[in-house]
Amino acid sequence: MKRIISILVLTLALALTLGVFCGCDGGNSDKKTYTFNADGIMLKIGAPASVVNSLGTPIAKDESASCGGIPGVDEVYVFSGYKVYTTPAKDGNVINKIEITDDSVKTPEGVAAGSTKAEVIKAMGEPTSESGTSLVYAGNGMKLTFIIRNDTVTSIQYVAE
Amino acid sequence: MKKRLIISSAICLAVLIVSLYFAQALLVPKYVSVSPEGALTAEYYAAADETSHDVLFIGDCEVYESFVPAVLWEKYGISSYVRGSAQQLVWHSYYLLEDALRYETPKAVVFNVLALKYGQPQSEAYNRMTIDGMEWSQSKVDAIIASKTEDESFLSYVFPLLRFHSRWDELTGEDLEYMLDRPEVSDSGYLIQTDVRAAEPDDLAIEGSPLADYTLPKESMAYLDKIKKLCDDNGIELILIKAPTNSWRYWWYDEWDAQIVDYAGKNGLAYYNFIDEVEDIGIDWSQDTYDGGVHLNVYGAMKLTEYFGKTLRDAHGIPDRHEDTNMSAVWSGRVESFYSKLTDNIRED
Repeated sequence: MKRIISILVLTLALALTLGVFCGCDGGNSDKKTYTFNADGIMLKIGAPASVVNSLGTPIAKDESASCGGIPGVDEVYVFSGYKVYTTPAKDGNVINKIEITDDSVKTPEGVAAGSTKAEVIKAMGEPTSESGTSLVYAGNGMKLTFIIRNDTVTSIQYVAE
Repeated sequence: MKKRLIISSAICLAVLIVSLYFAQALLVPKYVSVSPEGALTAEYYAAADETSHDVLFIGDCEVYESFVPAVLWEKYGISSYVRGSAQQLVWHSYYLLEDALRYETPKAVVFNVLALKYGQPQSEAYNRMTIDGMEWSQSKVDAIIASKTEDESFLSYVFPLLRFHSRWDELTGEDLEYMLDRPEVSDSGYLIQTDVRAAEPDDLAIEGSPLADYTLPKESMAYLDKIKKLCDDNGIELILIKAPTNSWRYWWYDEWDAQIVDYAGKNGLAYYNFIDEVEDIGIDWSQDTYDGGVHLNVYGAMKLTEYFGKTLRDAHGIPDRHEDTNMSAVWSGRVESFYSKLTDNIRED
C-alpha cells in the first residue's frame, strides 16, 4: 500500500513539475515580435497610438467611427512610404496595422516592395505559412505578411491578430 | 396545509418570474439615443402590420444610411422598407428576409453587397443589434445558430438577462423611461443623419490596403445563393447594389466587384455599383456625408434614393401606389413623420 502511495505521489509530483515547465512557455512568448523602423522610431503592433505623434506630420490622416455607436474611432496616418492604422483598445487607441506602401521604405530585415520571394526568404527565413500570393510570418500577437504578385513583393503588412 | 404550500410556492414563483421580467426589461440596452441602430430590427413588425412593401432593402449600414423610403414614396409612389442593421452580415440578411416573408412578399429585394467580404461571425455587439429585435420564429433560431461567436450562448438570446445582468452600473434615466415602451427611432428603417462632415480630398485618396487573396469567402457567397433561391421560390426579384461610399475602412475592391458582376451575370440579376455613378447621382462629398465619406447623410441619401427610385420604376417595374387609398394614408403619415424628424434634427444641430 505504501509503495502504491509513493508511486502516486511521485507521479503527481512529476506531472506537476512537467506542467510547470511546459506551462512556462506562455503560449506565444517564443514568437518573434516583428517591428517596423520608421526613421529611427520603432513601431510595433499593440503599441499606444501616441507614438505616431513622434513620426512628424502625416501626409494625410483620417478617422472613422464604427457603425452602431460602438465607442471609439479607428484612425489611419499616411506617411511617405507607409501607413499606420490604430484602433480603440481598453486604454486608448493602439497600433493595429502598419503597411509599407512603396519601395522607399524597407523592413528592418531589408525587404522592400519590389523584393523577390527568394530575397524575402533569404532575409526572413522560412515563413510560417505560404500561399500563392503571400508569405506570412507569425509573430507574438501579430503577423507580418508579404503580398507577392509575379514573384515580387507588392505590399508588406504588420497586422494584429 | 398542503394546499397552502402549493399556493405559497405558486405566489413565490410568480413573484420571481415578474421580478426577472422587469429586471430584464430594465437591463437590456434600449437603443434610443445611444446606438439607435440596435432598434431597427424590431421596428419592422409594426410597419409590416400597417401596410405591405413592394421593395425591401436588406444589408448593413450602407442601406439604412442610404435609402429613404419616404422619398421613394413621395417621388415614385413606391412602398418600401429598409431591413438594415449595423454590420448586418449576409446570413443575418438571409434570416431577416426569411422572417419578413412571414409577413409580406415584396416584388423586389435590394441587397447591398459589402457584407459579402465577411465569411465568419464578427462581433457579439453587432449580432445583438441585429438579432435581439427579431420576433421568435424558426428564422430567429437559425439566425442565432448561424451568427453567434465562440463566446456567445444560444440561451443568452432566449434570456437576454443572462447577457446584460452586469449593466447595473451603466443604467441611465433612459433605461427606466423606455423600460416597457420605446419610441420609434427610424423612418421605415432609415436612420436620419443630418450632420455634415466633409470627406476631404486627402481622405478620399486613402484606399484600402492590398489583400493577399481577393476571393470573396465561400461561406458568404453560399448565403447569397440562399437569398437568391429564397427570392426565386417566392417570385421576388433580387437586385444587388453597392452603396456609393468607399472609404479606406470599408473599401470595395475592384476584384470583389468583378466577382459580383460575374455572379449577377450568371444568375440573371441586376447589379448597380453606385461608386461608379456618384457624379450622375449628384453626390457632393463636401456636403452629403456625416462622417467624412464613410456614410451618406440625409442629403446624400435623398439624392441616391431619388436616383435609384427611377431605376426601380423604369427598369424593374415597381408600381406607383399613390392611387391605393389605404396605402396612401399610411405613407402620408410616414412622409410627414420623416420630414418632422428631419426638421427637428436640423434644429438640434
